[in-house]
Amino acid sequence: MVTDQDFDPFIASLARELKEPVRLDAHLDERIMSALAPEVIPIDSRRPAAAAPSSLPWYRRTFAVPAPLGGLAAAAALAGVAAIGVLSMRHPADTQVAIAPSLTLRPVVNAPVDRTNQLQPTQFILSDDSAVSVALVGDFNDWDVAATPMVFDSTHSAWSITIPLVPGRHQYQFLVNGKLHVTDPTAPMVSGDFGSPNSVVTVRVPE
Amino acid sequence: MTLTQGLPIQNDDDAAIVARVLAGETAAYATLVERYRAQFARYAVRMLGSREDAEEALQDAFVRAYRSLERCDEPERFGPWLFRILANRCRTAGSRRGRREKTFVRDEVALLGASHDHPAEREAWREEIQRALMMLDAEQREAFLLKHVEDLGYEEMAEVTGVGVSALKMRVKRACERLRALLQEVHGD
Repeated sequence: MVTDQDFDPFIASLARELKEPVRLDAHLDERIMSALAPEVIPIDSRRPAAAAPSSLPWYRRTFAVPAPLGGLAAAAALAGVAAIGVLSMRHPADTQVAIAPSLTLRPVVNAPVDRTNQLQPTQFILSDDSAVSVALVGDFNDWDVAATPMVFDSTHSAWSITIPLVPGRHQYQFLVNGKLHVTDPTAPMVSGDFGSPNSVVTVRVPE
Repeated sequence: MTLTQGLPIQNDDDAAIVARVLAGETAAYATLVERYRAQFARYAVRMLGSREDAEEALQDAFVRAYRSLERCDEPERFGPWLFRILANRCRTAGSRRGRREKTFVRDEVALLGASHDHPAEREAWREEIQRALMMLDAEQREAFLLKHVEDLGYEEMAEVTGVGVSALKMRVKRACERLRALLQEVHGD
């Protein structure tokens, strides 16, 4: 029988030691506050060269995925064109921020060429100056960190990947530098299996 | 159910600060960071066994709380709400690391809790405690810390972890037994 009333001097002595304050990075507060207010990059500065003139802002325009996106181009070929929505932000390069405050990502569902195909090319974009590698993990790839590496697009200074997803809700995160799981602040979040939030993208069947 | 023992109790000033932040005064959030950083960092360091990981979890928790501030239904109890987020982050961080870091890193944590003027023996003892703590299952470690270090009641622990009281009591009991077994020789009891 376990009771809450038992007092154990040995355990109490352990607890006393563990209650001692810990030392922290003197700049932790600054790092946290920096993460709250990332610098916003003017959207025009990220206008892709391939974008044709239009009255619409580039991030709203339907355009062919530029060549430098590599793997993206192949994926986009399924759809022909991709409607990409991006909100681009970043934090100062010297900020040692653990979670990617700068990330901004908006998954976008592309219009399929073959409407009978249920798989919908869906693009994920992440802007994070601190990243040297980024992988997309989610319920669609069994959270396999090696399954879906993202490709850096120097034109947009962003990491990107387009993958086919079946219509429905999908939970996902980004794995930055092989160890840091981050969510998308612009996407809805739900509590994951471990109690931490996951981002959610809803893939719809095009009309 | 309320969190009233080890965690910060209701703080009307927190509610005022939350209101300012929600009104657009982001800088006001620094007051909340300063207010809760130290206590919550202690939990994170003890739970994760690494200052770097603890700071990462702490920062993550503060940022997630900031981004979810509108969903803080009781801003006067921002502290307990933030702690729940931190506990989740520590749980997730621990599960990500899995067993790859079962080996305790001596130098890093040995110095975390010790003041410079502490005797070497006490530092060594604290190091052994942390080492033993890291050898517990994460669930047992979490329960032990919440109960004996953060001084939460079992109802509070249930609220934080989402685990039933009976299961938590068993985890604490087993954690204590395990710690005793691991540390008996060192301690000499």
